[in-house]
Amino acid sequence: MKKTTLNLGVVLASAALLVSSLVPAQAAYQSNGSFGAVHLYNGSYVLSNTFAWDGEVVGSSSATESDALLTCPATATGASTFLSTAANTTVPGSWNAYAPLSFKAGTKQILQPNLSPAAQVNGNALGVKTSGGTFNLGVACTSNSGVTVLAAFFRTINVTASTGAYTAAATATDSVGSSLPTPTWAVTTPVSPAPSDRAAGSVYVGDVLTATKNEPTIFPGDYTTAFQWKRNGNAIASQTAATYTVVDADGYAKISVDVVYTAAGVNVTKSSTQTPMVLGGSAVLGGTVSMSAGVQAMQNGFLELSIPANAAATFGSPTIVNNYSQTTGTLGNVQINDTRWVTTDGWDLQADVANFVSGSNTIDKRNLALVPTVVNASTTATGVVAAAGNAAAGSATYPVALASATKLADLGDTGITVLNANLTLRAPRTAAAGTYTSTVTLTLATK
Amino acid sequence: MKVKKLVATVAVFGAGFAAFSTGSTVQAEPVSNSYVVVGSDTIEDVLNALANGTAITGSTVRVTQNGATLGSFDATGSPSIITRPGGVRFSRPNGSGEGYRALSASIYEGATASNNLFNSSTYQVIGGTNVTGTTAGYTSATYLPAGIRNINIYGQVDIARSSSLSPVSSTESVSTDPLATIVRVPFGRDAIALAFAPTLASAVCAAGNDSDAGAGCTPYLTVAQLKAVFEGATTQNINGTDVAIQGVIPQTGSGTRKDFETFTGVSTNLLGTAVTNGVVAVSQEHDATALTGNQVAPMSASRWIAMSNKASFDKSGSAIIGSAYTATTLGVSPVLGAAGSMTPNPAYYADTTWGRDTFLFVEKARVTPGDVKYDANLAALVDPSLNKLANVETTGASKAGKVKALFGLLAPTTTALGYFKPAYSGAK
Repeated sequence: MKKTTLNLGVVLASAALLVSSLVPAQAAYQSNGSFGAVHLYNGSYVLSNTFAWDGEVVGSSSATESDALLTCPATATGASTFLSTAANTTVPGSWNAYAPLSFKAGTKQILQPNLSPAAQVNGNALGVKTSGGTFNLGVACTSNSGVTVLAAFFRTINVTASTGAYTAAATATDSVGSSLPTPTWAVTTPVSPAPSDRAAGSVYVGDVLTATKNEPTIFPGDYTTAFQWKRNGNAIASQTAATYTVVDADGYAKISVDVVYTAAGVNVTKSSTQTPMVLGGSAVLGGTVSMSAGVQAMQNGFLELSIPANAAATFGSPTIVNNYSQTTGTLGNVQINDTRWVTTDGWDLQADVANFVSGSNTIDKRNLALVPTVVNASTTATGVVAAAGNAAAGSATYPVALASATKLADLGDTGITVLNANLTLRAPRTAAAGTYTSTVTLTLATK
Repeated sequence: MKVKKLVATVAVFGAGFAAFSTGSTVQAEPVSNSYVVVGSDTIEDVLNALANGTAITGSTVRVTQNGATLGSFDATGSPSIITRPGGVRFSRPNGSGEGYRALSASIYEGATASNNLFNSSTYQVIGGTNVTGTTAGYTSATYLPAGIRNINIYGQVDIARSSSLSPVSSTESVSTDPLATIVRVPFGRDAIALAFAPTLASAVCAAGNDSDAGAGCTPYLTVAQLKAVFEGATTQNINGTDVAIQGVIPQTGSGTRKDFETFTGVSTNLLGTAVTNGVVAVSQEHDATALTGNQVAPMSASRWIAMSNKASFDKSGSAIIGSAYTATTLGVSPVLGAAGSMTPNPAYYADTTWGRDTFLFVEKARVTPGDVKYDANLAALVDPSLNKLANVETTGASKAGKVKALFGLLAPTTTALGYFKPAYSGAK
């Protein structure tokens, strides 16, 4: 007896294998619910989506070959071509029109089914032609003498009223299960506190949740389904039954259930909504957060001194201070861009000054005091230090260091340094009155 | 609820039983819900396949029109038929000639069976009584019992099948003839071959008339030999050997018989005398199951192929297919390949005499655009550019032409339409 059972098991297994090998990869569920793509060919066997009502049209599972077979499930015992509303696709008794169809000899496959609406000799195809509208047109694989639709290959067509001319919507593989229902969950065996003492819809540790997968309206028999319970969106190991008992570890988490629909090699997952945060149990809020981040290699930039075009220092009106004609001013902002993020070499900036000249009169450059400053508001680079410069007019020496950036110092977010300098020109007492001009030459050098 | 269901089931069974019992006594066959096709035995099976739906190509091919199926009636079966809902019962047209006559009678209101429509020596049946004719020259008007002569079959037939270029003598005309109210549409190319009883086949082959010598036996007879046999000769000298031969001719009205008579040049009178004297036997065309001894009968090659491939009901019996020897055929076998995958032999079908096109006949006015009787649906059915009855494309499994090929028909060599006068006296 035991041996018999074992043999039967082997037979069944091999039968199942046969089925899976007979159902080729052609069957990819379509977004309109079709068991697989149906491509339409006209009387010249040219692919088309638009047809006259009585135009010749045959179906094929291939978009390139007009004679690719449509494969019905192995359990199919009959087939029909049909024209129906979407809601009645699986209800032969409510099809608008249909015609009997034969399998290719010795197979459960259909070769070039005649899908012309005018060839659907049973029912009322002319009613469809008259009214127009959106219909499904295709092949149904049936059992129970044509009463049960096991699978259907069809296109959604839009029929123009009166002329009956129609256009088939594009084929589209259903990768998200748009034709499949969403599962739901419910607390079927509540624990303490009693439902009457709970907030509506709350879930407590210890409750038993039951999933409802909601049978697909189209071809429920074609799908195998599997449950997977999830905690905060992550699969809970081994919890694939229709029911789930909420455990301590679920405290303060949210539970949901997935149904994985499998048919013709296509898996589609539909997820329920999540429960509210699970209450009760001993779990506490808290935990660790692990982090992981990627780093992209930086590209080294450049070092640049930026002085506005026609830059000119400004001086105020001269005044007599300690019996010297003295005037003060500012150099004006100059900018250093250092985007050498990788090497951060650092830099030195120095200034040289020419003698002041007015006609044939000259004031020596040593009479110009120059004290550099860092304009902090505009500077992001760190490690930039202004030099002392020449504080004393009359004994200044040039060239003089203005500022430097320390090697390996952070360049900040922009690598920008803005510098200025306070200027004081103290003319010798012998100098003739007049307006004297000079230039400052800035030199930037990398370290 | 359960009780209700049970009651409903019983009611359904009851209705089904009642319908069945009523139908079996009143009406033997379903009626057509659109067009009615009658006539030739030769192409009845392929036309039935197209009208009823066939999967012989692998695809389901069924010629329908505007959502309606056709009704194609066999040449033989129950003696009489009703073709339309509420239609009259009339003799089943057996063969191309009777099909043509029935179409003629269907066109004109007032044409009746008494108008010499069914000039058949075999039968006229009404009310379950089979009346068998006896002599040539019989007319239904004088022969039929009173009360059943005037059967008006106006509008009961739409299409006549024909294996013959001109199924009724002296009816072919030209398109400009106002009396030519029937049009002929090419259907497919057949050939007339010969079915030999095994004994005769062996004798003929042994005598040297064997185009397949060494590899089998494909017997042939010359046209002169056939003419002699069907005019009453009982032996023929074949290459010096006397071989006893008996001809078996299809029933009157058969297109194959008419063509055979024409192709061999046999005298209709001498053939009639030979039949009367029992020298030449008569049998239903394309039924070789009864051929015995030294008998030979004309046989449609396409029917032979269809029967051998099991596309048609197999009535080949143990007969051997052979051929008529002409300068073109050289006696080659009309068919190629073995049963199951047999195909026409184009070399034989190409013979201008023994190869023959088959046709459909319809009323001209109904397929002529602009005519008050123009019927776009009927016109579509016989439009060779559509995948309907006249289609000859063999490129795809969904094509009617492909079905014809598997039934042993090649594309017709005649492509032009023909114009014919109705076949009864006093045509309008």
